[in-house]
Amino acid sequence: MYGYQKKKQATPFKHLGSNDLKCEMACQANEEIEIRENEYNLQRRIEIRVAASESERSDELLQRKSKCSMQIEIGILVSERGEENGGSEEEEEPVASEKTEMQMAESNLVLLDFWPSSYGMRVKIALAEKGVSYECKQEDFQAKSSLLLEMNPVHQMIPVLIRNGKPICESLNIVEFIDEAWNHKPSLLPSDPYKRSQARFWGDYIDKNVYSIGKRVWTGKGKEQELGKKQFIECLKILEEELGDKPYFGGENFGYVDVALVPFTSWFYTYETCGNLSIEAECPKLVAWAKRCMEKDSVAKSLPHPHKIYDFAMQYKQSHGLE
Amino acid sequence: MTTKSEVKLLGAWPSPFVLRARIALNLKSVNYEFHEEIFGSKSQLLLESNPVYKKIPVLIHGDKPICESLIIVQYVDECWSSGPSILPSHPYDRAIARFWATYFDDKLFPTMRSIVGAQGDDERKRLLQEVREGLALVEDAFNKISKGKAYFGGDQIGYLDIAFGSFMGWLRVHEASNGVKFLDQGTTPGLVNWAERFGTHDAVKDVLPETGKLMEFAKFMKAKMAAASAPK
Repeated sequence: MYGYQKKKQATPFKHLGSNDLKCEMACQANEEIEIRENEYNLQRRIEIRVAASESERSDELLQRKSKCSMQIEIGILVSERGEENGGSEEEEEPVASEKTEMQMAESNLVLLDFWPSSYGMRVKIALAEKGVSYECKQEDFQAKSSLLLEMNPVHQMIPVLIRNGKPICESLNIVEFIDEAWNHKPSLLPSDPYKRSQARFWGDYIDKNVYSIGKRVWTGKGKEQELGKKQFIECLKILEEELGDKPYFGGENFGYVDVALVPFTSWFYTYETCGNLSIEAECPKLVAWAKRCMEKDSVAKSLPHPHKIYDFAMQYKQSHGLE
Repeated sequence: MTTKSEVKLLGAWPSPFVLRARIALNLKSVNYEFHEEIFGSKSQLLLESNPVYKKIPVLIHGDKPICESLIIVQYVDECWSSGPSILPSHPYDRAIARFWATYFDDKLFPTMRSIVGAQGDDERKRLLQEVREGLALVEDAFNKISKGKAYFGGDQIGYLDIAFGSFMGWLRVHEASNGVKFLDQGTTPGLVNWAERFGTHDAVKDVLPETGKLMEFAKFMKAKMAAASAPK
């Protein structure tokens, strides 16, 4: 059986106050948080320093914030991360004299999510890596919210990240957007074009294979399940080979491919229990990588406990007659 | 200046995915060697450079292979950054471009291709309707993204022009095979005019396969598939 201990750590990001707690409560209780953007009032003042190249967006942001009855003082924001990293070193410097120093507590950033979704978890991890706070709204697939239908009319699926009323859809697309829009360290994608192409390739490979094959393991029966198990292990072994002896897919640092894959590890217990297999026995390096990732706050905070995922999976199978 | 042998593209003339890579390389004025894969077999070079999927296109830059057409286009854009930009520069616009390109590949084009194998008239009609609805979304997206300019990319062709435009030849083949018009002045005027401009663009016109040739190829493929599945 997959032994698992979730590390509970206090958040190091002091400014992630009520928003983060609300997200936790929503995920656990499966409640909908109703936020009306125009009536939202922040408890604190937010000090933001924006780069000159982002002045257009900051103007829009300021306009929206003034509509939301917030008061913003333009000053210098010194982040915890900024101090830890000894000041931000931008890989891209739009204007030499001004840097974007982040921890921007976004008042107008909403994530539409469904807590067991590995795709939603990717976005949470990416936002946590960048130290960006956001409002998390849980969707009910039996009754999709009008916001979801409005923001993602093409697919009507989560996750959707809504920034200043503008939606970004598709999880890896959102992760790349987060990496670019908050372009301080840590970078999720490498800067070298070839390495970026490789990261995108593996992200795409994970998208094409892990969920669809994995589903046959936890919902399938008989021959279909056996084939699914075989293909699932093959897929994980290909990924394990790509990982090699590196600590992360991103090399020395956690990155895009790690973000793409690690959420599925919260489903490992479900795959193993339903499929009667041991992922650790088949792919020990991959499981070691998963444990290494769980030592990161951004991952530990964003992944539900595997037993909760298993309970959800069992309820799903029951309600869909898949037992 | 890149010497021809530095950049190789493994591909095949009918493939819309290969076409994407060719247009991107043309836009950046990159010299490259085109290796035409023989239909029905896979070269040793292809198997070695794309062991995961064994599919074309594969771009080989120096000794480094890059696979998957949209990933190749992004690589070309980032590697030859002095040429005209293929992707927009603003993160939000880039996200929108990536979203629609994924939509084409995951939804629109697979639906279009599946019309060939439709079981019965009802399924055929349903799929045709799905394609029309999808194209209506793309027409709407074109109007919003182009902001009245010639291309999705604005004044110049960009990522979405390449991603969508590469399929125009096959779209015409499906139109002719089914006796329908997917793009017409009544329902998708923006895209009709855009397709005209795209097809005559310098980076596109010499590599765009003729619809007639594609139709012949489609007939050849259909006959081959029928022969393969015929009872012995």
